[in-house]
Amino acid sequence: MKNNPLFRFFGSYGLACALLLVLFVLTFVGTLYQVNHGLYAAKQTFFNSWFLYLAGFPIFPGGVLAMSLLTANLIIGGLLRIKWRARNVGVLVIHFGIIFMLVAGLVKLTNSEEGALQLWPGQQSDRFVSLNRNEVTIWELGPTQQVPQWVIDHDFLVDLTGESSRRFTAKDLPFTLNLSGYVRNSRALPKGPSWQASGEVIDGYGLYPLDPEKENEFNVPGLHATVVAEDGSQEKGILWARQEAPWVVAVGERQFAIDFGRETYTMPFSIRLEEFMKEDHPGIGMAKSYRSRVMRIQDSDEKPVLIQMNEPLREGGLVLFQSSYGPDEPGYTGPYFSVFSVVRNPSDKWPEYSLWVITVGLLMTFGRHLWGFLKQQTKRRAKAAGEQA
Amino acid sequence: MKQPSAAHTLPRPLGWGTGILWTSLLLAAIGTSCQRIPDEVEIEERRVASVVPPGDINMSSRERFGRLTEEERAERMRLQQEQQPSAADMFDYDLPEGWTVQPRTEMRLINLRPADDPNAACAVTVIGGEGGGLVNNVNRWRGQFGYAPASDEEILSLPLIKLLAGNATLVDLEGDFSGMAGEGGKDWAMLGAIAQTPSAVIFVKMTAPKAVMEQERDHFFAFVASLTLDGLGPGEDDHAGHNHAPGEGHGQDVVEEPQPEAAPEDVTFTANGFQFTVPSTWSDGGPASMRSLNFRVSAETECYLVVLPGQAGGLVPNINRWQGQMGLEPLSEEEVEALPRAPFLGEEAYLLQADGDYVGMDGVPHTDMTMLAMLLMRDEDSLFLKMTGPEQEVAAQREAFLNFASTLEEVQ
Repeated sequence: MKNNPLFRFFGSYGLACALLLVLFVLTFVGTLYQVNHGLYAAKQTFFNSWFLYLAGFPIFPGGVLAMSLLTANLIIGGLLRIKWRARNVGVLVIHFGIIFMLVAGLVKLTNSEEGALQLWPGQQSDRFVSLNRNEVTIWELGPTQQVPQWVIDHDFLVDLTGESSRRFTAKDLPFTLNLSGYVRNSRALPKGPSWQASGEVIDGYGLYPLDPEKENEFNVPGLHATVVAEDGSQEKGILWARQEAPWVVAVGERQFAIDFGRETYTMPFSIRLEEFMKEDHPGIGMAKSYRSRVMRIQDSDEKPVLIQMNEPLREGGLVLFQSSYGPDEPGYTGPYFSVFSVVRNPSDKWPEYSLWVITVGLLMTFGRHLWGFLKQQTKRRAKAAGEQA
Repeated sequence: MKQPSAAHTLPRPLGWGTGILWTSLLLAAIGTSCQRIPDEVEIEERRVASVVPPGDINMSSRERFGRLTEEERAERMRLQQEQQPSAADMFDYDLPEGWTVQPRTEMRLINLRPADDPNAACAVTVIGGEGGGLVNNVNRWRGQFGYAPASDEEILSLPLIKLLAGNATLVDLEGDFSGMAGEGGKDWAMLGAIAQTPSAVIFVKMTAPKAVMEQERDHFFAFVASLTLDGLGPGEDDHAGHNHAPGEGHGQDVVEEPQPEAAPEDVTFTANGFQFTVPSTWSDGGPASMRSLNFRVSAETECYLVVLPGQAGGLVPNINRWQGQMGLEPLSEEEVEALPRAPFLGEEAYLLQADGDYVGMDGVPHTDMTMLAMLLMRDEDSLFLKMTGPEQEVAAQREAFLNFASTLEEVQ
């Protein structure tokens, strides 16, 4: 096995160097890309991707692929091919720590949810919204209080630009939903003579395309939708991520609502903002520090918590950080709403653990070298003293 | 004859060029196939939502995309508020025989003791929003009895009972109970009902030793059936008859009908060298570049004053710049001279009303807009007072705009 050419190639130093070079290029180009396109676009294009594409063809490995190959390289070269001897224990531990850190990144990429929760004093909520991902939801209107919904994920929508379209079906849905004409940043406006709508104008309204904002959360995407019933009848509508109510269509005797908006996640508890506290620098309206006194509510159990910089609330697999407040306008003296970044990340603490593992490995490796060096020095001194004597 | 060494019998490592070539080709093939999502997709993701935005098949695109005027929006909100229960709503209920009323807590809006047994409790709790969702709450209750979480399908198939004119999911559990406040023990039971309203989740939960529960089970259902929301909706002004003393089964206090507030009066301010009387419905628009005064009339209508030194380009070019912003043809000097005048800082200023599609600084066109603008050219400076917004809103604010302009005075 160890002499298999593929095994040797994927565990080689050369491949490790090449992958580190790829990561360097990705980091360098991604940082430059971020200047004009914003952080989110840079992360998605260079680091959260398997490949970088040009005209539909992969031209360079993306961050996910490079780091996956590096993980494989470290496992094969650093754990399997290396000789398991006492002198290599430190190196093995370091390799294990780096692999652990890379796995933590992959788990975060594939299993985490990130969003924000904004609360005014006295307001309570158990939901947070994604700032970067949107979804289409479909449900049947009716008296039911627990509403089953069909959900079309963000990833199925963002490539529907230009002439692209996609048909969505579901076993219990009596219609097919065709989605097309995705615009990353748009306004739904009554069509006037002075601008060209992206796609069809429906009910006097069209999607006015705007240049994408650098800060992705300010982009408001739009879509065109066509509902095709089983009898072939069609109804067209515009879905806009800031619409105030869902689009409702009748299919036979039934009515279905189709909504488009930010992905929303439910927390296993509610948070009520009791008080937001802000301390300004003397003489200027710039915040020196700010924090929130909240109540964590679950059933009838209430627990007071103070959330401030570097002291988030960790509960039920979620981490709530104090991230900002508002309205942040000159001359405004309150009351303020408080904004929390909410992250559901199963590997939340793994990078910290991996750093501890790497630290232990480094201490073992350098400690062994130091011990050897000191022993050698002692021998030399003893030898020199003997010669002088 | 020289024998080859052992090292020579090992297979050669994959050459660098070959390795990179084959790896690149393989990855490119994977990458090309990975990128494409099929043109036809079956929706697999399902979830159960307790709160969904209200949908109405008769709703126009104008309403759906938030293009209502302030008045229409206010009317819609008023109707919605009338239709939805608020936090101040009160419960009314029939107290089952033998049950006693306990002091309410912040969470327990109704706090009862079934059969006056200190081990038994029945409470009504209301939590805003989804309150954690049905599935989470049912599974949390199951967890208190040591049961594994149930699937969404199992929870959705639980029986429903009537609660507050709607349906509530009924949870019926028995076993070893361990409550959050330390209550419980072996052979306990729980009856719970969870109902979702558009704005909140209502929990009715009874816990007791199993023997007590068996006796009080019917009382629980009678209590749930008797629950009503008191004070819902307009026209119910007979609160005087609902002031029940504790122990009579009506543990809520009466809330006085709020008296309508008197309309606020317009207020006179001094700012940035001007004194003026501003309509009470306008709000401060905050500081903005070049604007000496800045007001927000409504969500889409703003009014501001700009003062520039000298002639600032001249009368006709400025008027025609505004005409251009509204997509209108430029006016001739004669047409500008023929514009109406209005009082402004003790003088008569040119008054322009332009209706059309407005393209603001953000480059976004707005249709059916009106610009109401006054321009006063003086020897030392030029003053521009401008209101821009949807046609109907500006028309409704025209008089307020002219009154505001007439009250403007320069102060030291």
